Order: sequence, then structure tokens, then C-alpha cells
Amino acid sequence: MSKLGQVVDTMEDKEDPKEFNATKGHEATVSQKDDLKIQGLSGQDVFNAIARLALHLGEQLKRNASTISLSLISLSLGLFLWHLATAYKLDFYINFQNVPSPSKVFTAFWTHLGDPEFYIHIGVSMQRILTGYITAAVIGIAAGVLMGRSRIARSLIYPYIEVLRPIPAVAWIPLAILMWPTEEASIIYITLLGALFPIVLNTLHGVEQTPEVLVRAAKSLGASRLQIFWHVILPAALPSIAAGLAIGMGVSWFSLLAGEIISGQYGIGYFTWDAYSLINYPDIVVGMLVIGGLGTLSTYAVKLGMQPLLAWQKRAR
Amino acid sequence: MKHTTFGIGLGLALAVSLPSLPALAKTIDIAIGHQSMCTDTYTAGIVVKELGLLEKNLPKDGAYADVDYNITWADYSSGGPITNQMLANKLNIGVMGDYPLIVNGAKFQATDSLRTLYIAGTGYNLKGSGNAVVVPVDSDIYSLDQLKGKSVSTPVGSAAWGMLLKAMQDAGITEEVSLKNQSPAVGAANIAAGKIDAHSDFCPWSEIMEFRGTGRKIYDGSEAGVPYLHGVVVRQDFAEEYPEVITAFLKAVIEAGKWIEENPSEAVDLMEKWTGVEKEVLYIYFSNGGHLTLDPTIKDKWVEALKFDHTVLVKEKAIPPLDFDAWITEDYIKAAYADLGMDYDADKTSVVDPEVANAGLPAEIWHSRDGILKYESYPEFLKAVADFQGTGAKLNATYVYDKATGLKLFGKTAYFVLAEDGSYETFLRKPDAEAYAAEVKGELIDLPTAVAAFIPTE
Repeated sequence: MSKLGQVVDTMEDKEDPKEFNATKGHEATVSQKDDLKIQGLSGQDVFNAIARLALHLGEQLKRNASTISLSLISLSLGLFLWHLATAYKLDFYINFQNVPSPSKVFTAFWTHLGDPEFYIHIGVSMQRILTGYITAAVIGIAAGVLMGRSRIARSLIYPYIEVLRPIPAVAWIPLAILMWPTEEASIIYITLLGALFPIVLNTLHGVEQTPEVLVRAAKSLGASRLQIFWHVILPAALPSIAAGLAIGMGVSWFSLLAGEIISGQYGIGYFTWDAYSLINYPDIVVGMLVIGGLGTLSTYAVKLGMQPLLAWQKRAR
Repeated sequence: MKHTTFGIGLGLALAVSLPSLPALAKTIDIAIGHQSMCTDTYTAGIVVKELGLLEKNLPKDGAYADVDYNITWADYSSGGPITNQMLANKLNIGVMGDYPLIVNGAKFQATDSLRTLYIAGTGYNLKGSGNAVVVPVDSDIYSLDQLKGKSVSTPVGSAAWGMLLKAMQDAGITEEVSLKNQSPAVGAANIAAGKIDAHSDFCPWSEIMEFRGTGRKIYDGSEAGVPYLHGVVVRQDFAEEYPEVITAFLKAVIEAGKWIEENPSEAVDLMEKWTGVEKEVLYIYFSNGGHLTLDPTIKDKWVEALKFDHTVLVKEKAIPPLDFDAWITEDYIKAAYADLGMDYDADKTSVVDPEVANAGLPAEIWHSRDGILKYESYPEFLKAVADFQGTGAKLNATYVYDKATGLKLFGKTAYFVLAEDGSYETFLRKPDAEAYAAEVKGELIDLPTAVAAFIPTE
């Protein structure tokens, strides 16, 4: 599970130097614990952070102009290579002969943009993701914290997590149909499962990483269990929880397609699957890219949403 | 056959010009995509595979003297993925139903140079039986009109989907039904759990649901009146390189059909082992009077039906155009018939209409120990069921025929009408049975009630 966290850490290292500090935080807490002031979260903190964030957003954009432009260049290069491979029908171990060209995919995309049904597909999927994800976040964080703080809870819950985690979303389809009262509930359940495990494991990891010395210090100052949880454990676990939430968002899009096979009528996963059953390659790619794009955006939104809550880390340095 | 002579000529030329050279072992990869959950493909799929009929028929002399064959079979639950694999050149031969066949031909013709050929049928039902609309067994829906305002699922792009579109159009309810896409397994699970109002599917799913007691047919494909057929497509480049291999494959298809026709009850027993579909369900397809007429010929009527299917696909799913003349070829199936010394034109012109062919066929009881027993009249049949029940014998299934369409039915799902004169008739659909009951002043009953009258009272 710590590997999961690390993967995100290293990925983000490359993307954004500012994020580096944010998500490396849990390691920082270990190495710099002597300098760390115990900080809780108050409304004022959150407000300040949001204000600061807004102020710095433009600045950050300017500062990261080179990174952004580099990423854009990389993406257009990929697009260009894809174009070349399809235009020259590359067949060198990997075969591009029947892969649709970027222009074909774009034409298909453009046509769909003018079709109201396409937005229904996207809207329905977003709604499913949101419901499944929020539920997963609530359950995941609660279970993770519980397991992190209680040996008994851990022995009781952890085996379920480990046994259920490797089961692929598609394998759940028949049971999901049988168990849940409505199709929508079955789909949301499968989406939820995708998000749940990264969130649980990262929360557990974060809670476990809380330096015991800080807990003891708070205790000796007369803090109650709840106070310790709110002012010490939660802030210390937050970077890891944030990483879990970001990964969970990505994985829930991942399992969405499996869920939307249950009831094919609307949903971007269904859209892709439907295109497959009719061998409509441009639409398949449109569906894939829309899922990829929405996944990226929503993961970014989660990170952005978590930033104010992580503001304490920067001050701690 | 131009190809045959060319092949033999090539073989001769090689034999004459290179007599002293050691034989060069060459491997021909034959990869076939079939569907073990679609009964109508069995004669070009699972039966050929399990009986080794292709191996038996493959050419081993002339140009093929030193050839090694590497045969692989891949099983899919629908036609779409087979077409995908064929486009990727990972499968040479594919077996699928009518709508997926159209998608296959049209998608290939939309590429620059790749093409497939439609080389043979596997089986058909003239009226379109095999596809059906099923509702959960406890549902209060008994006819298609009652689906107004309900949701119906079907595997989009399949023959069952095409049938459903036409059926809803005919009934004028297209606008009022919410159509969902569900694969057969998902649809069957939804029917079993009662989560969908109705599900339209292809063979043998609706009978599986009936047999397992989860679903009930409310509409049979025969009511749409468009023939339902399956066929074999092959990549043109492969067929042109190894025409004799394709002919051999079709000979295997013909032999598989004969094997089933000669002993259907033994055949379904084995097929159950191979596919996991209950033999009682398979019997409704493969027996005398069953849904499926095994016939590999390409009839003009089939081409018309396929053209109709294409117009539906163009309208609903923007499928590219399809040049039927370039796509359909009878060369290979004619060669296979000639090799086996059979008359192609005779088979091509004969068409089996279940309404005519099944009139007067005996009702059947599948006794778990004694096998299949036949009864000339319904009173005899019902008395036999009552007697067997009295002795505690296990009956695997019972079969009767729909008076309206001539289709074979499970006795337990049929509607029995007891007329005033004491005669019985059986029906697939409740409205038909009710109409007949009104006509003969009869009584509409189910199988247990009909049997009860024959149980000795003392």
C-alpha cells in the first residue's frame, strides 16, 4: 500500500514542483518532526488557504508556463506520431493498419458534440462517478482511520480488504445485478468498489505514519482522544489520504465501464462498449479519450480540493 | 473450380520441377471464431471442433502434401469480437448470426483492401424463431403491446435486436419503449432477478430462461416474419490462398449437420457436455421439428433477408454500405457439395416451413431413463405424463407444438386448450390460446391441470 502512495508521489514529482512538497509531507513529518508545530485545522485556516490559493493560481500558471508548454508539446508529438502511424499504415510488430486516424476520431467526436445524447452519456457517468466516489471516500476514510487506530478493527476489517481488492470489477457484474435493488445501484456499487480500496489503504497508511511522539506529546498536554484525532492524527494522515483520494478517482473511472455494461442505455462506458459491439473504431477511441480526459480533470479537481487542507504543511517548514 | 485446378497444377509443377529437393514443411494456421452459446453456429463451430471433422477433411496431397495444419478455435459470446479479431488477422474464419454478419462484411469493405466473403450458411428458421422476447416468469405482461412505457433490453447489434426493432415497429410501440443494451448473460441475470421488464435475445437464451424457470416468452421471432439465419465468413486473402482448406471446412460443416440429423438425442447429449447448455434446451433446436433447419446453402431468400437487415443497420447505427455481390460467394459451398457427391441445387431450393413441416408431429416426453418417447395424440401424451408422475419417474422435459406457428415448445410453458369435444391443442402465446379457446368454447389450462384430469382417482 505504501507503494501506491509512492507511485503517486513520483508521478507528481515530475508534474509539479509545488506538489512535491505537499505530497512528500508524510516523509517530512518523520524527518522534521522536531521542527513541526502541532497545528489543527480551523475555519480560519481553510479560508486563508483558499484566498492564498486563488491569489497564487495565476502566479503559479506563469511560473509553470514552461512545464505546461512542455506537456503540450509532448501531447501534440504523440498525436502527430499517431497520425503518422495511421497515415503510413505502420505494421511493424504493432499494427496500425485499421486503427482510426486522429482526424477520423476528431470527426466522430465533433459529430457527437452536436448530439444531445452524447452529453446525456457524459452526465449520467459523472453522476455515477460522483455518487460512487463520495460514498467510497466516506466509507474508505472511516474504515482506514478505524483500522489505523484500533488493532481489533484492523484484524476484523483488513482481511476483507485484502481478499476483495484483487477481484476485478467485471467479475462483480452477475452478483451486483442480483444483490442490488436497481440497476443504477449495481452500477454505482461497482464504481464504488474501484475507488474504495486505494482510499482505505492510503488512509490506513497515513494514520499509521503519524509519529507516536506527537500523539504522546498531545496526550501529556491533556488532549482528549477526540482532540488528538482531530489535531494530530488527521492532519498527519491527510497527505496520504489525499493521495488515496486522487488514485481512487482514477480507478473509479476505470471500473465505470464494467459497471455500465450492466445496463446499457446511457453512460460513457456504455457508449464505448456499444461502439465495440458494432466495431465502430473511431467511436471506441472517442469513448476512451473522453474517459481519460474526464478522469484527468476529476483527479485534478480532487487534488485542487485537497490543497487547502494541506496548507499546514507548507507553513510547518 | 478454378482455384482447385490452379492448386493441383501448382502441386504438379512443384512435383515435376523439384523432385529431388527435400520436402519443405509448411504450416498453415487456421483460426476459427465460433460461439458456444449460440446454437445456430454449432455445425460450423463446436461440433466440427469436437468431432475433429476439419482435420478429417483437410487436404493432405498435391500442394498440401507436406503441410502442417495448426488449427485454433476461439469461443466468443457474440459476433462483434469475432469481427474485431478477423480485422486484426488473428482469426481467418468466423461463424455468426445475420446482423453481426452484415457488420462484418460492411466493416471489412470500409477498409482499403481487406475483405471477407460470406461462404455458407449453417442453419436457419424460415419465420425467424430462435429470437424471442422474454419477461420474468412472474411478470403480468403477456404480449408485446403491454411493453408500452417499459424498458426492454437486448444485445444491440445482434439478430435479436434487429427482430425487436421490427417487432416494436410492427406493433407501433417503438417510441414508448426504453431500449437498453445488455449482453445475453447480463440480460438473463436481469430477467432472473426481475430487474428488467423484458429481454430480447437469440438462440438458445430464451429457451434456457424458460427451461430454468426464470423467464417466459411473450413474443417469438417468427411473428416478425424475417428469416433468422447464421453463416460463415472468411477473410478473402485466406480463402484465395488456400481455397481447398475452405472447401474442407465446409465439408466438415455439412458432415456436422448430418451427424446431428441422424441422431439428435445422442448429439444433444454430447453438445451439453461441450457447451454446458442443457440437452433439453438443445433438443428444442436440433430435433426433428426443432427450431433450427441445418442447411449450409445460400438461398436467394437469405440474401433478401440480409439486405433487409442491412437497411436496418444503416438506419439505426450508420453501418457503411455493403456490396452483396462481392461479399457473397457460393463457389466454396458448391465445391464442398460436389466433393461429397451431393446435389447443391436440390438443397438450395428446399425450404422448411415449421408450420407445414411440423403439423402432426408427435408430442414427446424425455424420460430420464428410457429416453425420448413419442405420442401421437395429446390425450395419450397427458396420460403418459400422469402415469409417469404416479410412478415417481423423473421426466427431463416434455415437448409439444404451437398450433399457430408449428414451433416446438416445452410442455411446461405451453398453454393448453381443452375443447368442448375433449380434444387438446397447445399454444406458445396466451392471446392465441385465448382466441382459440373462445372459438371452440374451450378452457385455457396449463400442463399440470391438463395432466390432473388423467390421474387415476381411486
